[in-house]
Amino acid sequence: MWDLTTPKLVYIISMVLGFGLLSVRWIWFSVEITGFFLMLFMICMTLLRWRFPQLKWSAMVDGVLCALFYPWALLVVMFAGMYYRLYYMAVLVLIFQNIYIAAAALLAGLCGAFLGLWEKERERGLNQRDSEVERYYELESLQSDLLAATVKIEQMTVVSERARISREIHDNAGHEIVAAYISLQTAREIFDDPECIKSALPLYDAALERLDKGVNKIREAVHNLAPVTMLGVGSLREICERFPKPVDFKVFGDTSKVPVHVWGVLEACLQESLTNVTRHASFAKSIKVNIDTTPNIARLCVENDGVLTSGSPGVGPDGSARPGSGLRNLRHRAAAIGGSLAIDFGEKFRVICVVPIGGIKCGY
Amino acid sequence: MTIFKFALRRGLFSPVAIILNGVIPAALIVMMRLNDDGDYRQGIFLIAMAVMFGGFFMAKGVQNDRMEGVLLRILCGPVTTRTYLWQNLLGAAVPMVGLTALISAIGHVVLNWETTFTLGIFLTYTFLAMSSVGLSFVWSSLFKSKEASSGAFGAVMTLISALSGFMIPLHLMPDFLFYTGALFPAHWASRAMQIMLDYGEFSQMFWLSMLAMFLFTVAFILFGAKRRLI
Repeated sequence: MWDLTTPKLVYIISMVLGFGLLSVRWIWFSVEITGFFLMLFMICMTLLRWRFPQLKWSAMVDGVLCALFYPWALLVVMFAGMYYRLYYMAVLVLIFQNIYIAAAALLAGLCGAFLGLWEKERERGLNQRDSEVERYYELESLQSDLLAATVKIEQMTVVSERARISREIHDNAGHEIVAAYISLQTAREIFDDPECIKSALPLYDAALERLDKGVNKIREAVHNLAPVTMLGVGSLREICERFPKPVDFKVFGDTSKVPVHVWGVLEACLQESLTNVTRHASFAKSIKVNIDTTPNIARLCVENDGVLTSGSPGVGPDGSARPGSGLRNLRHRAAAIGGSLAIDFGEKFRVICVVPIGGIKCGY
Repeated sequence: MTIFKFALRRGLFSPVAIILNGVIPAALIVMMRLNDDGDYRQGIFLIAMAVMFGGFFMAKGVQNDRMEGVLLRILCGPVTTRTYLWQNLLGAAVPMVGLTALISAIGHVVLNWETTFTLGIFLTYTFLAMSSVGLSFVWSSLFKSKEASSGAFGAVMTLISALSGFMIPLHLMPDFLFYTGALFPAHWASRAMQIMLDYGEFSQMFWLSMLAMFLFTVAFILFGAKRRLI
């Protein structure tokens, strides 16, 4: 479709109008045939300049020919000249020294100046818009990079945490248990000789003591490793319990295989969805949160019966979903780990986040 | 030149083009031969009309390509719009020139046209056919839907035929219609044929008519080549 706000369109309309008026003059006043041919020639030249803008200087040729043979068409030519910034068109005025030509040049000059300013302003606006769009895309790409980096960091954290746990067990509890094991083995050999049973008892006690120490150290290690905040399903349940309205929270499947970074995305998704319920569907009576996990995917579905009507915030005029920045960001986060986020406007409003688990490659 | 070959083949084997460019002119020449009073004025104009329509249909392949999505597939390859257009133009123009030459030659042999008259008629038909091909390009670039194209085609062609002097002699037309008709290339073809029929020589007005048709052709082709095809 035509962009109705371009100086180029105004130029095209004015040229069509100009040639239209010349045609009407040809029909109505039965002008001499030279006028007709000049008009036809000018149409060709205009189309040529339209096709090859680098030939804009040729407007000058039109101008000279018109001034010589058909001054009526000068307005059209002047307008073209001014549009293409051919200020030396003014030379025509000096050459022919005609009041009509001067008036035409003045009018065209004013129109040309107006069009020039308009075009400059429009170009500036377009450049600004382009740079803003570029910045937006840069930010978006940066965001996706950061999200991908987060996923990697999460995975590295898990690996390093495992290494730390194994080190903790090996350095502390491991030695005690091994020492207890060796003591018990020695004691077992002594027990075979009835004469030496008494001498085996200190060894046995020492092994028990070491085992006790080992158990205590494991208990301490476990106590130190336990997170302060809840993780996984517990965290999601806690969010639902803290919500001011009753939330029907259900979990299906084995959630132990869901990686930590996936829980992070699901948690953010739940938070945003419940916040949206408070903001846009405060009249909702039933809120349901379901988590389904299979060996391959984890699916979070947040559902409420406070469906919005057309024109409400977040709903387009045709009733379709128009996600805000929160859900858009979530969509990016889900996409960064290979998942997706969908919004369903049915009888109930649903936000569904599906994220792959179990070795599926993450990222866009 | 693959596109040119296909355009040529498509133009030559199109049933409409065969009827308009082959059957109708041949039938008209035979009818002119059979006419006892030797007045073939009307026949010349009717052949011109057939050539005009024939030229239009010869280059209609571009429009069909555009509507059926063939153009999109062609332009996916290493082919520019310019190459596609000029090869199609050539594919339509070459057979039209050949055809008008053939019609003129048949007229020269069968109807005993004088050499100057034959040459004049050949030039007129050729320039008219070229402007029709150009108009067809404009048509292809303007219309995307077949229904709209067919509807507008009927209206415009009826208008052109009525105003051009093919049906009503130009000197019988009121000034308003005469000058309105001059805004279409067919009017100038009609003028040129009238000059050849009346005087049988290349007058200044004849060459001006050729120039007008040439300028119309250039304008049509430039317009048709500028507009986006897909």
